[in-house]
Amino acid sequence: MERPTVRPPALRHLRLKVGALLILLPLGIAGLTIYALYARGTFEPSRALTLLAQDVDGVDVGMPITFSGFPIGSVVSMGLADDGEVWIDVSLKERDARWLRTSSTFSLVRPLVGGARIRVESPRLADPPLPKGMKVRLQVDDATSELPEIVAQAKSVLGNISRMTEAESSLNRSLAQLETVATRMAGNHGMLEGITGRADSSQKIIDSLDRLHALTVSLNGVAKRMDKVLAHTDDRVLGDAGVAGEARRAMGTLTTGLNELRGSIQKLDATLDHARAATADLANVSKSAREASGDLVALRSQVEDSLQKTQTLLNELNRKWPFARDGKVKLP
Amino acid sequence: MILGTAKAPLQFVADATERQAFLASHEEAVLVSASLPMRANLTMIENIALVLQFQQSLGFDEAVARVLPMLERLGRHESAMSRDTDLDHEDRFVAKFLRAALMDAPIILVDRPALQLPDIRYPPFLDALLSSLADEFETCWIVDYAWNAPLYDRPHSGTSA
Amino acid sequence: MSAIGDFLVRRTLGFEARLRAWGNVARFTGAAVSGVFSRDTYNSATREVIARQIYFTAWQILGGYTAFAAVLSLVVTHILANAARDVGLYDYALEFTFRLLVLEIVPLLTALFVALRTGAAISTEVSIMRIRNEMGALEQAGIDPMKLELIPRVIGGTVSVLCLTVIGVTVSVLCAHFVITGYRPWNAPSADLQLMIGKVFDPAAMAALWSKAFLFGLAVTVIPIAEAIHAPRQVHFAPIAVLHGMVRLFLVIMLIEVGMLVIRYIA
Repeated sequence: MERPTVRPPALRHLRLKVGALLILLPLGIAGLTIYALYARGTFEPSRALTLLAQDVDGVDVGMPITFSGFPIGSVVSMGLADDGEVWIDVSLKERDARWLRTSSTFSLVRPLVGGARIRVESPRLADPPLPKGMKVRLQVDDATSELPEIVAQAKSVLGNISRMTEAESSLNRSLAQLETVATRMAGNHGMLEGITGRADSSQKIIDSLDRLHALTVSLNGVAKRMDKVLAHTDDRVLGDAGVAGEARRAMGTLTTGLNELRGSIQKLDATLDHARAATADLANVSKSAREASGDLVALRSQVEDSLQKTQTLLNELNRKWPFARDGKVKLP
Repeated sequence: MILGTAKAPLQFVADATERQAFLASHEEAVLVSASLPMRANLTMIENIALVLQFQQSLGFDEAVARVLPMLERLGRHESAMSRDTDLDHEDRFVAKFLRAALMDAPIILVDRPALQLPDIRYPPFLDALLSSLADEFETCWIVDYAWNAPLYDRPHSGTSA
Repeated sequence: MSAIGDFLVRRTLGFEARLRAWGNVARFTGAAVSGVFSRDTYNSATREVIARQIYFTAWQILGGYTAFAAVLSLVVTHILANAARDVGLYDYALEFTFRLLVLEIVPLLTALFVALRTGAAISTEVSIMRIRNEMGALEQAGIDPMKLELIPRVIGGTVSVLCLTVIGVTVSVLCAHFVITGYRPWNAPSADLQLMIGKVFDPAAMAALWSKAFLFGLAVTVIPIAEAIHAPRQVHFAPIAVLHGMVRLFLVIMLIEVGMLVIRYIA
């Protein structure tokens, strides 16, 4: 008698599905494990190499050896030789052995972040390959060994800063002085008073500047006239009341004026440097002081400009002055 | 008529204590009892086949091939693929009885059939069942309370001492 | 005074009960494991129960689980990669991902997922089976309930957790690679993935991963069962048995996870 097979109705292809999972399980476990071993290079031929070092500090068994950032091997074992040196046996993948040349350097790198590793560098890949079983010296290139020094420096810098910011520090005093300067700058003679500290001395500077301007203008005139003289006649030049005499007198005045100006400028320079250093260091300096330093820079460049013009003029005069070789006009 | 014969003797007990004493004196017997239900998440035929799968290491199909004819003989094969909750009391009783019968035990004890077959006049049902399966078991005792004795209405049925 | 005495008695009894429960778990685990290696555990009926357990625990959730593992891996790797890039450690992002996600989070979440789903189901089913005396009935019929119902569940559950872990680990490795290479896996040097797998999945890590997955699988089935078969046979104890089993299971999963971490990274 034929009977239909009696089966639990709900689960279709139960055997097939569970069978698939049961096959997948050992395949999956074995596959992942074998792939991990393969990825580690377990099944790859490897080559041994011995590194020599003075100090093995920071080297661990299993530490990677990289070439151009790619791991090509790892430290297998290490120990102390009879002569006190350290030997480190490393294992390298055979297919990566081609990167090793006789000129290759091995250095221990200890970055501040991340694990230490041994880096191989082969600057000349044209060199003959490194023979098997060679002993190579390991160089130690250590970022962390400089760390104490860096920390000490950082400490002293911090100390300086805290000293600078103390109430009685020179910086604070400078700031106080700067404030005085700024207040004075707001006065009658503006920033010149601020720099020189006295109203009359700033007046003097202004006067000398004015004189210098006048001088420059008259010198210009002289030069023009002299051009004419040189072009047309020698006689008139040689006369005492002629152009040359006038020029000689002008030179005398010029030298005095310039001496005076140079002194002022030197003083101004010193003050300016001081003020500029203070302003550069301190972001929170008062607004007027900051503007003042801007004025100072402008003033300084103006003075310098005038000086430059005078210098050019004098050079020109010297060049054109045909007679008195020893009577060269010199700038102080 | 098999009930009351030596193959299927009736045992009437006066009360629960006496019943328990009787059950305790037949520990070797396999019980068919309301307190020994079927596995709820297996079908009727799976429940029965389990015995063969375990005791004779048969495959499921082989076990079913043995069990299904019995169910067909009893007219219960329609329910073979149903689970406990979808069965009626007679189906359940048949399943439990078959489970006991397949164990090849010398004695089967049907404990309080009134409790297991509440919806029918059960002595004729029991009689039909046991008659039809007579070749599958050796002895089957029916343990019932004395006050149910009239239901059996058999002159040669024994009463408890 | 008597209140303190009562309190102490209660605490002692509670402690004793807890100790006994752990003892039950240990005893059942021993019995189950030795049953796994016994030949007469296996017949057509128990094989069917094993198959169904694997079907319900692993196959039914395969699609959802794979999708979950993929999404989780993508998100976690993305976060890790971005965080690593911000602090200039992008080179280490793949390693972070492998160590954190693949070796720890995926197996742990797999175990918790299966515990939530299958652990609760097994706990409830065994409780009901025991309360209805189905176990007694099976024993009466000459069928060892341990062999028919309990050991197959342990085997099926353990195999399922291992299966899901294999799938989850594979999926998350691939997803991590996908994210790290900027969603252009075909452009990246395949050596990158291979190197990192070689570095992170050393034999010790692989051994730890599989033994952890195995222990998770065992715990997910053994603990709810042990709790259920030792609960009193009364209907109102069923929820309590399930509750105890689940709490104990969570505790054990965490203990396994932390224990494995301690062994791998500290000891």
